[in-house]
Amino acid sequence: MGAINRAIHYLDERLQIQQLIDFGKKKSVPLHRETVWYYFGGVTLFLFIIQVITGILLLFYYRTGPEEAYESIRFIMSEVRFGWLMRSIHSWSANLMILAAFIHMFSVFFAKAYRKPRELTWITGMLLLFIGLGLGFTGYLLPWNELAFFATKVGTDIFSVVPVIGEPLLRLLRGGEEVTPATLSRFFGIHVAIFPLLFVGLLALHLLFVQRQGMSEPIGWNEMPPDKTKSMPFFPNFLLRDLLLWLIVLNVIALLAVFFPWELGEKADPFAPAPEGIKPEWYFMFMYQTLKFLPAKVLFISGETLGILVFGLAVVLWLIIPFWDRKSARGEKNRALNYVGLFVVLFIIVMTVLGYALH
Amino acid sequence: MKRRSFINVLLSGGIAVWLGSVIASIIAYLLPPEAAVSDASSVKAATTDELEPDSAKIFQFGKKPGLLLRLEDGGYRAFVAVCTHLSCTVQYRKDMGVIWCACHNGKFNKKGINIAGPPPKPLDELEVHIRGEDIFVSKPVT
Amino acid sequence: MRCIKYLSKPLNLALLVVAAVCLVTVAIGNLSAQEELKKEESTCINCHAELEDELLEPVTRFRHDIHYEKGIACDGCHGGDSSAEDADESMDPDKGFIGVPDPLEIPSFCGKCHSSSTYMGKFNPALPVDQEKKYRTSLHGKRNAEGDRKVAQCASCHGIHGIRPAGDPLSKVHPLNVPEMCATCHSDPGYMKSYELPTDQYRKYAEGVHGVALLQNKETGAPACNDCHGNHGAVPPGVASIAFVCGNCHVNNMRLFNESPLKAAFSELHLPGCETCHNYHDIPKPTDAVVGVGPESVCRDCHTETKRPAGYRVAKEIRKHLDTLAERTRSADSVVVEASQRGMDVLDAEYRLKDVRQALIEARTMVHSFDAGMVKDKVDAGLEAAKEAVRLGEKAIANYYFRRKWLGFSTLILSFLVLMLIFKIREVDRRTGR
Repeated sequence: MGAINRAIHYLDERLQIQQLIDFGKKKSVPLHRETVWYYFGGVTLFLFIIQVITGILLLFYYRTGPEEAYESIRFIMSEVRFGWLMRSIHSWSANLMILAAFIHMFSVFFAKAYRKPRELTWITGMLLLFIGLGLGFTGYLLPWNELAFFATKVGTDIFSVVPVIGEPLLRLLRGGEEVTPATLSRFFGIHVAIFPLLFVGLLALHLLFVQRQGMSEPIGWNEMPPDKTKSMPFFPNFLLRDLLLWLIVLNVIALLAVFFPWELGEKADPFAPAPEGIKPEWYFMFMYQTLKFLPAKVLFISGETLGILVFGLAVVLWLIIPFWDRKSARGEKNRALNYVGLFVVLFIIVMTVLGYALH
Repeated sequence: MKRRSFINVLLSGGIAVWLGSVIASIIAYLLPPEAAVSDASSVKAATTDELEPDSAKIFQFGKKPGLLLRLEDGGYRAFVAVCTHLSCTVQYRKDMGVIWCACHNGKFNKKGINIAGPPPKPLDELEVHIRGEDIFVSKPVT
Repeated sequence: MRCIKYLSKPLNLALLVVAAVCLVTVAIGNLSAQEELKKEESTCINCHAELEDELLEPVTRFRHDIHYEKGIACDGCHGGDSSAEDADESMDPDKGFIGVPDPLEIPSFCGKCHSSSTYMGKFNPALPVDQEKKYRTSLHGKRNAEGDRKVAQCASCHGIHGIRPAGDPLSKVHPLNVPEMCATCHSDPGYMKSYELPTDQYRKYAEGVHGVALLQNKETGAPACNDCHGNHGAVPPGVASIAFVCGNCHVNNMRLFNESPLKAAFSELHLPGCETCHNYHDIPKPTDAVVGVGPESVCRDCHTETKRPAGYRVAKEIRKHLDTLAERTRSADSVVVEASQRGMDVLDAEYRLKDVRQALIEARTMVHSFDAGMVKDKVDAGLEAAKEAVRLGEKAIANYYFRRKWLGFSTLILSFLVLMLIFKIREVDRRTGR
């Protein structure tokens, strides 16, 4: 072990990394009933790293264009060594990342960990979730297969009901009136350049905030007697546990990639009639299903427009929770908000299940 | 050897093996595969010195065979070489001057239009592009 | 009466209803045009529209008649003067009024215009003008000329007043409707009694490969009665010409048969070319079982181990070759299907399979050469392609298993690392006093 110590010493002399190690050692993770939820941020981060690596590797063979996109992915999956693995991992890990991010977000919500001083951490986290969803939406189209083509058609259509700016927004997004190869080019650019750039920037801020502020403690933690407030050093104890979970997640992804390889489907044919069972990605299903349940006309506006407006309002309210949840900010329990959160979770689950059951 | 360093050795050894195999897989991934990059939109069908005037060849065009036909005046035409009757592969018959299907004697003229026998429809035409000495065939832009 | 009989058939009734609906639609949408037409057609149509049954029928049906569409009024065929105000005047025999033509006169009645290229050229220069001439050479035409009012003449097949062009799916002579149209007379035992003709042709045809293709699968490329028997010059094809009739579509089979030794042998025995093995009317979809020496074989009709044994041996060998390729096609298919069901990409293997299937089709056609060597050549080409397809399919399946092995290996390493991490965590926890 002398080599490692010498290396640390070498780096310390030049970069003062001992400070970082001390910082990590000083940082501690509170131990309580809900400690398990602390892991989901790390899992999301790990899945994002997988996405970056496999995404870059896929770029070596992927070509955009209505013909090339599908064929190049077919080529990756059938001819390139481990290409099947790269593509399957990228697809599976993307979905798991969104799932992990949702769990992370809701755990933070129910722990009220967004309260002062962590308002900005919450905001950056929410923005990261939005971009994550955007990455999923744009990435879904890239193989240019039938299902993705029509799902994108339906998905982008929703933007058209946004009042006033709907139509120009739709045109901007699609690069024209319809979903065409121009849309594919746009989505490709957004998926591999704009969103990753934004994501990495926000992620850096998010992680910086977490490091500066340390792990959040449950409400009433500081009032508890010292012998009840146990904690664990972040480095190495918690980090090793993080690693352990990451390895397990990695193995699960490998398992999924081999036993449930992500399908390529049929090449998109813009002139073909829409196939049956056009569904959005599962994480958009609850919104899609809700909009379907709404009546065509509510008072003077269309049901869809109303739905979009209500969703938009709800998302904004959710985003700025830290600024209006005064009770949690004062360190008091906010039971009413817990019920709201519970309702949101149940709503999402029920609508998602209904979405799949009714199709 | 202490228990602690024993675990450290096994752990770092395991990580090294794992990292090694990951990196090896990535290198294998990056090495270009044997098959040329598949490209259904454009396939190199032949070179310019390959076909005599008034002759043709069959090439693979994605899932289907293609027929590259060199006309008597030296120009090229290409079709999806799948007979519109029962999906046999068609061929060019110099003696008859037609594209011919061996299965049921279906005939198409040099423009791919069905002129005799059971085929109900013309052959699908493909686009021919000549770049330098290579002849590329691609799907027509719809 | 005829009107009621006409309406008693559901199809006709339906047609009439459709026609009536169309009429009303046209009438509503096109009132002013209707007005104008009325003026032109005044006497015949106006009067007959007021009448009932038989006398009304020409008006309702004529609206959909090709002649009406081309602007030919009643007097174009029936003579008289349709523009005359008075009924007696318009139906004046002195003005050429014919009324209902006698069946014996109908061919020349239609032929007045249809046999004149100058007249027909005004409407459709591509339309032949030899129908009447050909009709006169047909058995129908000959008997008609002899005074038989029962045999088919123009109106029997094309209809009366509601005559539509053959390309119109509602036309009685549209390819899909021809077999039933011929069957109205030819499947009626009472009607056919005096001619001593069989009446099972339609039933047999409908069961045969052509009937199934045309009537069930609506493949208009498949032959109806007239494609083999001719239209206006309908005759039963003779023994000598049957191979030519079939050969119009089955070109390869005819060529191979004509070049084969069987051609001379069949002529010697006065056997017709195709129908000896394939029947006529109830032509079964051929299978490999028809070839060879098995129970369904047609070869055994003439060849047994003792009678003409050379042919028996050839039949046996040809069948063996066909079976080999058919079997290999199936096994190659199943390998590729298995690979594809395992989620592997089998595009290249499927590309090869196409060649295998094509070789099988060609080998089956090659049977008509009755030369085992020629069949074998085709079969060998198919076997070669099948080998390649199987190789590619098996490669894909091997790849599938490779993925599982890879997963096993990677799970092994990861599990080892997980285990080591657990030890490490316990060791660290102990050391840091937790």
